[in-house]
Amino acid sequence: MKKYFLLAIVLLTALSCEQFKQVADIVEVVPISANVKISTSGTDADTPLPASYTVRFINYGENFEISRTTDASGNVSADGLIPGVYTVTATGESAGGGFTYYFSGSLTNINILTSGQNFNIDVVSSRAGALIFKEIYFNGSTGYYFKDQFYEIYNNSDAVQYVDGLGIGNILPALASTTTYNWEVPDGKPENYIYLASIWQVPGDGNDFPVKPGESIIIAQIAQNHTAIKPTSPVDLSGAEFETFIVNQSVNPDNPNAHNMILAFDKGVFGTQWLVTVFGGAYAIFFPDHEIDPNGWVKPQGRTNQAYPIPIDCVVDAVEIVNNATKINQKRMPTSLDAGATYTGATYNCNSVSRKIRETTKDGRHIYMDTNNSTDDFQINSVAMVRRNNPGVPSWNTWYKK
Amino acid sequence: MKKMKKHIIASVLALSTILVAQAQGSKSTIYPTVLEINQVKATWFNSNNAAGMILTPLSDFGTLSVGYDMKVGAYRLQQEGDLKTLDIHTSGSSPLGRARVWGEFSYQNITQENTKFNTLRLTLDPDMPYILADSRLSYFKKQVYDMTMKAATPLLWDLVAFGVTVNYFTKSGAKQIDPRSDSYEYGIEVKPSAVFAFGNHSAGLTFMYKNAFDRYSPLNSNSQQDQPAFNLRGVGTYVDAVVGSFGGLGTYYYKTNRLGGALQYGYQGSNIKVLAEGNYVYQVIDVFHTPAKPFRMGSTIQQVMGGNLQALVEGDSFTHKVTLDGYKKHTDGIEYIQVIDATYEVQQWISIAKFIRSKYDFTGISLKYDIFRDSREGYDWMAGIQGQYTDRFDTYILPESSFKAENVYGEIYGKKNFMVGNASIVAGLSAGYNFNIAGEHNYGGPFPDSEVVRDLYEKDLAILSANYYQFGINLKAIFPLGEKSTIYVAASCKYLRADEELHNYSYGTDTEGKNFWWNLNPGNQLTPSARTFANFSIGFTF
Repeated sequence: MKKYFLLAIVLLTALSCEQFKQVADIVEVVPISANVKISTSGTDADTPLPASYTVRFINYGENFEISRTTDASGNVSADGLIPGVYTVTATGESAGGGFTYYFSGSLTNINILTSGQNFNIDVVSSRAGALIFKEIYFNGSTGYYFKDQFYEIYNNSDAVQYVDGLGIGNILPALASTTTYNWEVPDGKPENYIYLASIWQVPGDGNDFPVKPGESIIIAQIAQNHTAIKPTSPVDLSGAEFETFIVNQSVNPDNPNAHNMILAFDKGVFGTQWLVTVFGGAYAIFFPDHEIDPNGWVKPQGRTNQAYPIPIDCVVDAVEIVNNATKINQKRMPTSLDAGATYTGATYNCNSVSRKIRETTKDGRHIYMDTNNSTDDFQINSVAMVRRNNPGVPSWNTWYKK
Repeated sequence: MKKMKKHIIASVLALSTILVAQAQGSKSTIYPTVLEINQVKATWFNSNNAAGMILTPLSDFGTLSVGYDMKVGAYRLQQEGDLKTLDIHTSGSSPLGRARVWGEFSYQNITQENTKFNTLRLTLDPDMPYILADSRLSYFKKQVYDMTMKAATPLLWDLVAFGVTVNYFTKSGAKQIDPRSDSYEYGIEVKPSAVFAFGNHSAGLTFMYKNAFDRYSPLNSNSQQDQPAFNLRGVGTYVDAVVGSFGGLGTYYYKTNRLGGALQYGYQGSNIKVLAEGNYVYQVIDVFHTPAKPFRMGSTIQQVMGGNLQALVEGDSFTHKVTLDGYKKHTDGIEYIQVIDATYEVQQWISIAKFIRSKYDFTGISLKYDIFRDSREGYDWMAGIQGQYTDRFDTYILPESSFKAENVYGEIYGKKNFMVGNASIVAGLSAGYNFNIAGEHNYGGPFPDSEVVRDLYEKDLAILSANYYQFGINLKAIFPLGEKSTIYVAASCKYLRADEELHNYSYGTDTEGKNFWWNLNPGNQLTPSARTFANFSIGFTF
C-alpha cells in the first residue's frame, strides 16, 4: 500500500515538473531601444531626397506603435519599446521638377528583443501617380451573393495611363493565416515574386484604353445590374468597363457592352465566375514583362497548389485584405508592395474598402493616399459604391449611365 | 463526458449507500444543528489533513438536500452577472471498518444572466488575466458536478494515521449569445496526508497535487457576422480578437498543475483543542489557443502561503471557537513573443522570448469568534463576530497600469434554536459592513477610452472599492422522521447595498499628462447599487 502511495506521488510530481520547468527563471520585462538607419541605394542620383523620414515602429501583437523622425543623415533612435515582433516603416516625401516623390521602405516581422539593436531600411522612391486600386468590393451581399464583386482602378497621376495589357490577380495563399508557402522558383529567389492563383488581363493593343488623370475603370466579376438580380446587392455594374467573363458557360450572361477580360492564367478560377474569397484576398495589378505562359506555374514545397510568379518589379499596385484586425501580422503580400493590410471584418454585408483622399487639386481631381501601406491608405465602407467620389469615366465608355 | 457523469453518479450512490448503512447504528436524532456544531468541533476535518480526521472525527451522518439559490442585483462584478442555481447536494460521514470516510457530492444547474466581458470561462479567477472577453450583455447555462472524499486509516501502532482527500469536478456550459462558447472544465485534486500522535500532541503533513484542464470553443451562431472580442492580458491591457467562422479564434485550453504541502500541529486537552496549519502552494497555468497550431496566450505562476489557527474550548454549557486565517498570494503573468516558423516541416508558432508582464498580489486575513450554547439538539443558540481584511494589488509592468482595492469587513451574526416538541426552528440574523480603505485604477495603455477600461475596469473598481452594508435573515424548520432522521425546510435572504460615497469614479488626465482616476464624491456617474441573495432548500438528514 505504502509503495503505491509513494509511486503515485512521484508520478504526479513528474507530470508537473515539465510545465514548471518551462516557466522557471523568467525575468520582468523592461523597455528597450532600437536604432534605424535609412539608406537610399536604390534611388536614382537625380531624385531629390526628403529632408527627413518618419519611422514607425508597429507591434501588432501589442497594439503598440511609436513614431520618430530621422535626423538629416537618416538616423533615428527609438526608446521605450516593448520587446516583441515589429514592422518598421519609413516614409518620406520630396518635390522636384514638378513632381512629388514618395519614399518608402519597411522591415517586417523583425525581432526587437534586446536594447541597442541596429536596423537598416532601404527606401525606394516612386512618383506619385500611376494606376491604383481605388475601391475593392469583395465580401458580397446578404443572401450569400458574391457575383457583385468589383475592382475599381484609378489614375492617380497627372498623366494619361493606358490600361491595355494590365494584369490583375489574387495571390496564394487565398486566406491570411499562419499557413505559409515556400515557393520553388527556377532562379531560386522566391522573394522576388508574387504568386498569383489567377491572372486576368485587359485586352487591347497598347493604346486602345486610355485612362485620363482622375478617371477610373471598373473590372466587374459580372457586369450586370446586380440590384435588379439580387435586391440586397448595393451595386449596379452594368456600366463597368470590363468584366471577367468565363467563356463557354451559360449561367452568367455576358454584358455585350463591357469588354471581356482575357483569362491568361486560370488555376485559381473555378466554376462559372472569378470568385475571390469573400474573407479578403491579396490583389495586385501589374504589367507583365513577358507574355503569360499558362504552363509557367510554380508550386510551393510539399503542396499541389499552382500559381504564376510575377516579378515584384512588374507590380503597379497591390493591396492586402485580411479577415480582420487580428490577421494583419499574418499577411501574404510582400511588405515592399504593401506594408500593412486592410479588412472589413465581416462577410456578405455589402462592406468594401476604398482609398482615402489625400488631397484635391484646384480642378477638383482627387489624389488618393498611396503610401504602400493599406492600413493607412484605406478606409472601410459600410456599403460598397461604384465610382465613389465621382471620378471621371473614360470617354470610350459610352454605355455608362450615371 | 456522459460516461464520466455515470461514473460520478455511480460512485456517489455507492458512497451514500455505504455511509447510510454504516450510520444505521446511530440512535439520536441527527438535527442539522448537530451536524453544524460537529463540524465546528472537528478541527482536523477543517484542515488540509484528512488523516487527522481520525483524531477529531465527525459523527456518523448522511444528508441529502435540494436547493434553489439566487444572487441578483446591480452590485456585481461585470463578469459575475446574476446567478440562479438549482443545487442537489448529498454528504455523509461514517466509519468504514476501523477507518473513517467522509464524502460529498453536488450537482448544480446554473443560469448566469447579465454577464459581460467573459466569452468562455465557466469559473472566473481574478488571478487569471488571459481570457477572451466581449462587451455584449449575455448569459451562460452551466452544469457543475463536484465530488470530494476524505478517508483516514485508524491510528496505527497508536502513533500514525494516513489519509487522503480527493476532489474531482467537471463543469460544462455555454454562452448563449454571439460570440458564444462551448466550454468544459475538469479537475482533480489529491491530498495524501499523515498524522502522528504523541499523547495530547499531534503533528501532520500533507502533500497536495492538482491537475485541471479547461477547454473552450468560441463560435458564432450567425456565421456571416464576425464578432469582435478582446484577448485580455490584465489590468485593462488587451489586444483585439475576432470570433468568426473563418480566420477567427480557435479552441482555447488551460492546463493547470499545482503542487503544495502543509504542516500541522495540534493539541488536544480535556476541554481544549488547538490546531495550527501552515501551507504553501505552487501552481502553473498555461493558456493556449488553436491546438493544431498552438499559440500561447500566456502563463501564470502562482505562489500561495497561508496559515490557519483554530482554538476550541468546550465548557460545561458553552463551546467557544476562535479561527484565524491568513494567506498571501502572488501571481506572475507571463507573456510569450512568438513567431511563425515557416519551414515546411514545422509551420508552428515558436516562442523566441518570454517575460513577466504583470503581477497580481492578494492578501487576505480573517478572524472569527463563535460561541455556542450547547444542547442535545446541537446548540440552543449561537453568536459570532468576524472581521476580514483584503488587499488586492494588480500591476501591468509595460505599459504601466495598476489596480488596487483594499477593504475591511466586519460582521456579527447569531442563531436561536426554538424547540417545539421534537421539532426545531432555527432562526438567524446577520449584519455586516464593508469599509473601503483604498481603490484605484491607473491605466497607461493605448486605449484609455476602450470598453475594457471604461465598462469593465471602471465599473469593477466602483464595486470593489465601495463601502456597503448587508443584512441577512435565515430560517430553518426541522422535523424528526422516525428515530434519527429529519426533514428540514430552509430559507435565507441577504440584502446588500452600497453607500453612495466612494462609489463614483471618473477618469482623467492631470496637468503632466498622466492618466488617473478620481473620486467624484458625491456624483451620479454610477448609481449606488444593491444585491439580493436568496436561498430556499429542502433536505433530509439520516
